[in-house]
Amino acid sequence: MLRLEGIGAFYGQARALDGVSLAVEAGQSHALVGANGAGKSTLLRLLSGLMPDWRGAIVLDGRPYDPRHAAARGVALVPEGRLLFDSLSVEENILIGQRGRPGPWSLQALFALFPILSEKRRARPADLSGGQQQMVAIARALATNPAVLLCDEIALGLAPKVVDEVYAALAQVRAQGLAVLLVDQDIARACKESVQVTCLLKGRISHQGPAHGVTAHSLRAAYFGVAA
Amino acid sequence: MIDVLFQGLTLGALYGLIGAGLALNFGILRVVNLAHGEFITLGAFMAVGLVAGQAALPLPLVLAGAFAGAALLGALMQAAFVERAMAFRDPMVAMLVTFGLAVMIRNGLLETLGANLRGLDVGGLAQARVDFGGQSFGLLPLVTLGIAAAAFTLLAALIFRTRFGREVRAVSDRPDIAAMMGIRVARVHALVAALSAGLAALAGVLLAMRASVSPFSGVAHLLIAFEVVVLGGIGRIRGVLVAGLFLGLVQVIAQRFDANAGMLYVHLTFFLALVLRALTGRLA
Ligand SMILES: Nc1ncnc2c1ncn2[C@@H]1O[C@H](COP(=O)(O)OP(=O)(O)OP(=O)(O)O)[C@@H](O)[C@H]1O
Ligand SMILES: [Mg+2]
Repeated sequence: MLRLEGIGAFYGQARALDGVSLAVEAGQSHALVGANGAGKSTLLRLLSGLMPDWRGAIVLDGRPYDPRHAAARGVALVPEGRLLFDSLSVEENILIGQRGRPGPWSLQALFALFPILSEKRRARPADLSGGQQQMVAIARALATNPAVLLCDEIALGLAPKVVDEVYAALAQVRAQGLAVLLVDQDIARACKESVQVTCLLKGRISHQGPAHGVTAHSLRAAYFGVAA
Repeated sequence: MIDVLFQGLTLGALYGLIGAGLALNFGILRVVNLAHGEFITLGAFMAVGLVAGQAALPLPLVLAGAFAGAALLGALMQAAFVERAMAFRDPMVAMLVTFGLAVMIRNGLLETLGANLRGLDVGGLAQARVDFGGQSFGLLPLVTLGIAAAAFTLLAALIFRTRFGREVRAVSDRPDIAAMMGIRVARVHALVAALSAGLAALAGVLLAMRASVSPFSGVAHLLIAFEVVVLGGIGRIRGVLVAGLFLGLVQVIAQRFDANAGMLYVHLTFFLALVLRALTGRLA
């Protein structure tokens, strides 16, 4: 579905990514892990059109992909820190995503996925719990009817029960055929939800392979960059 | 007494309109638009020109013409100059660009029209009065008040009830995320600049029916617009209207006691309100 070849990215002179290649398949999740500053958010931001300075090739659905057209091509980001529109209500935040790409994620479908948001539809993001805010961020991204969903730190700061709810929703999303690129500090959890895993170390790939059975312990060499 | 109140509210509604346009610039584009006063003057002069060219032109058409002309120029200026200046981190750059544009518009007006004061001749409308509940009201202020009220209602509906307004608020909150979601941010900016300029021109036409304007009137109007926005709260449409009404009332009441210094009391009131806020710790 989405294929990256030799991706590099720069913040001014500083290189944040170097030679990153990976693929995300429809209906599957790909876990992207790595220590703080490894470049996970940078890669997701790049794919969303938020990184102007990058190299490499990206192919989506067999056609070259320009991140500046992320929304139109069906790539949506659930950003680190959620970054909701603070002066818009919950419902308005979600409606912002609806821009004419056809697909199953109507307002009703999203309220069915996250029933609590239906009750809070008139509330401002600031009046929601962290978990509810995360659900708005996911719903806003899904409202664009994406083919690829990029999720950055989707469980950060959430209670375990809420994390389960969010992952249950992501399973439903995958069942609709979406490709998911998933960043989570909890390596075992991210890998349990995923088919493939890529570990970044200082902007380069330090491990790539099947996600089945991968844990923080089994990945520690790639994660910390020291011999196991 | 009712008459003073009525006049104050009429003038205040115009101040509110001026402020609303500037508040759009501040709150949504995050640009300090020093050319805002010039759009007020421009609106007035476009109306004068329209009426001079076609004496029988009905008022709604004059207002629509001035709004459209200023809106077009506002959008062009935003797209061609201000949008680029906004790419710089330093907000000073965009502000200086609007300052330059203000100087250009002012000198353009001066060059083509001279420095004379001009008023907008509205014929019988200026003298006409209507009786209501035993009280006689001027028709012109009534019309002015009605137009200003309609403009505010439409503006609020546009910003808070429509899809466009939703996108405007989203762009104001987080332009990068809005762009990521497929909103054409530069286009929204140009439309907001058009709306701001159009509102200024609308107020300019209505102001010109009350008092003469010259190419130099823009600065004084800009000052009032700033005071209205600062008092009313950036990005708060209702607050801006209330602040405008308040300052308009102050001016008209002060003029009763000191015919030449109404404006001075407006600025003094503004200053006192700021001091009061600073003392109560609500300056930001
Ligand atoms: N806006 C920025 N300007 C300059 N450098 C940046 C910027 N954002 C990130 N970086 C740098 O790019 C590198 C990758 O950062 P990135 O945020 O992608 O890491 P991450 O893997 O998401 O980390 P975390 O787990 O802390 O979220 C880091 O070295 C970071 O310091
Ligand atoms: Mg990150």
